[in-house]
Amino acid sequence: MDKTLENVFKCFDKDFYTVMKNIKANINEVRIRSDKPVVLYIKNKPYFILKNSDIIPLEKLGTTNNYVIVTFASLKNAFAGLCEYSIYKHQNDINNGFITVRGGHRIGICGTAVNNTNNIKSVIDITSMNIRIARQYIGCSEIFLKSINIKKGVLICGVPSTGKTTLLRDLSRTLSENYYEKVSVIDERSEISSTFNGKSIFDMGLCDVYCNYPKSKAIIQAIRTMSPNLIVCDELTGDDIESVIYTINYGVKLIATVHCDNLNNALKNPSILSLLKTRAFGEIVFLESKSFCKIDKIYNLEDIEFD
Amino acid sequence: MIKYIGLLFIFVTSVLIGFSLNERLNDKIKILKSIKSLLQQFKIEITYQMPTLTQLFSECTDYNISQLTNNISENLKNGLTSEKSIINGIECSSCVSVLSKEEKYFITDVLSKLGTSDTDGQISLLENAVERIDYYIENAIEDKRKNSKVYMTASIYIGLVIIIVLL
Repeated sequence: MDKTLENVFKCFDKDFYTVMKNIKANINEVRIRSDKPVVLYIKNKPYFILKNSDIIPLEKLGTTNNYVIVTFASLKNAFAGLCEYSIYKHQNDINNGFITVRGGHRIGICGTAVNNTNNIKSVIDITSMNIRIARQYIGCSEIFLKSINIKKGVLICGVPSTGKTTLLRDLSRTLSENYYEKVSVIDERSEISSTFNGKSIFDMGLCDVYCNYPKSKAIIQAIRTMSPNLIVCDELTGDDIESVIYTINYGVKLIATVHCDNLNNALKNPSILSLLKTRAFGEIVFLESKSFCKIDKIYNLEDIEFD
Repeated sequence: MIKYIGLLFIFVTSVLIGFSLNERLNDKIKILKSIKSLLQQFKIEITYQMPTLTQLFSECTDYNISQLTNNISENLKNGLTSEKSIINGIECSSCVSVLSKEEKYFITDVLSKLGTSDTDGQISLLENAVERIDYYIENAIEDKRKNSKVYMTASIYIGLVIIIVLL
């Protein structure tokens, strides 16, 4: 288990940390609900953990009482620890339902919201956490680069846990180091590079990384000051339209990701359709939903008419 | 001869006790001012840089309370929770021994609340704490003004009385 992941589990109580440390499998996600058995996802399949660090498939629920359970109090303390006892530092992310910890691991949270005239002011009493484990797979973008034309701009689509961010990470590294492109990475949530104190945990090659910047502002700043050929960003939405149009005006190509599973749904989604209509992307790539970093389909957007 | 040396020793000890009590009054004012300055520094850093709690305490450069801030930051780095780090840090720091029970309790309470709310909440907490510390500083200055001469004078007189009695 890598050090950043160990530090995540160290925030929980000692028993839980010991159990997690002894698990040898390659975990994608850990779902923790207060006072309920902890569920692991390995290759996108769910398993329970037992107190002796054995894992059993979900179908075997009820065959034993030896599950690992995290109490509400332990979850609350762990959350404070994961925020490095500095809630103010993570408040914006908390209000958006997640925090990103060192190592680029994104932790989705849910609990009780404190509202202020339709806005979430804060979240208290955390009852569930979903720890999505980030990894770097050096070379996972090689097949991708052979299949697409980066020079036209690419929109990468996939459902959660199909490897979009992992692919972006390796694409940034490969394009900057091996293809000598000037790449600016807009890392709004510090998931792509996992930068802390000016150092990124993942190998980002020769990229310029904008860490924690709001996406739209960072895209415009990058174009004005770092003269990139390519801008890489994660989870683009319809709110970023203006900055996407800005990239077209300056001849900078975009590689971005969105949540979507197929072309029909993409064309029906107003947010994605508005991005496609800008013609900033020459190709749209869909990743296989049951695999990791594997291409399912590629469409040439120049052949598609938008209503 | 030995008797006179002993009497001199008693006199000097009495004066030194008075002097050290006087110094404690000075030290208390110094420590309270340093803590006030620390909280003001925290307010600026939280507003503009949003460092983690560990970074906040590690980057404190005030010599008067360096033992306190170093203890707390070491405890945090060693994996203790923020509350335990602060309580343990205050208990193990001799620099805060000059503070009264109420002052120590107040400072422990304020430092334990660091990192538990959003930026606005933290700034509000720190502003209120600085106001309260100002009140403690005023009390400490008044204390010094009233008692400083008393301690020095009393220590000299007590020393002399003991010498006279023993002579």
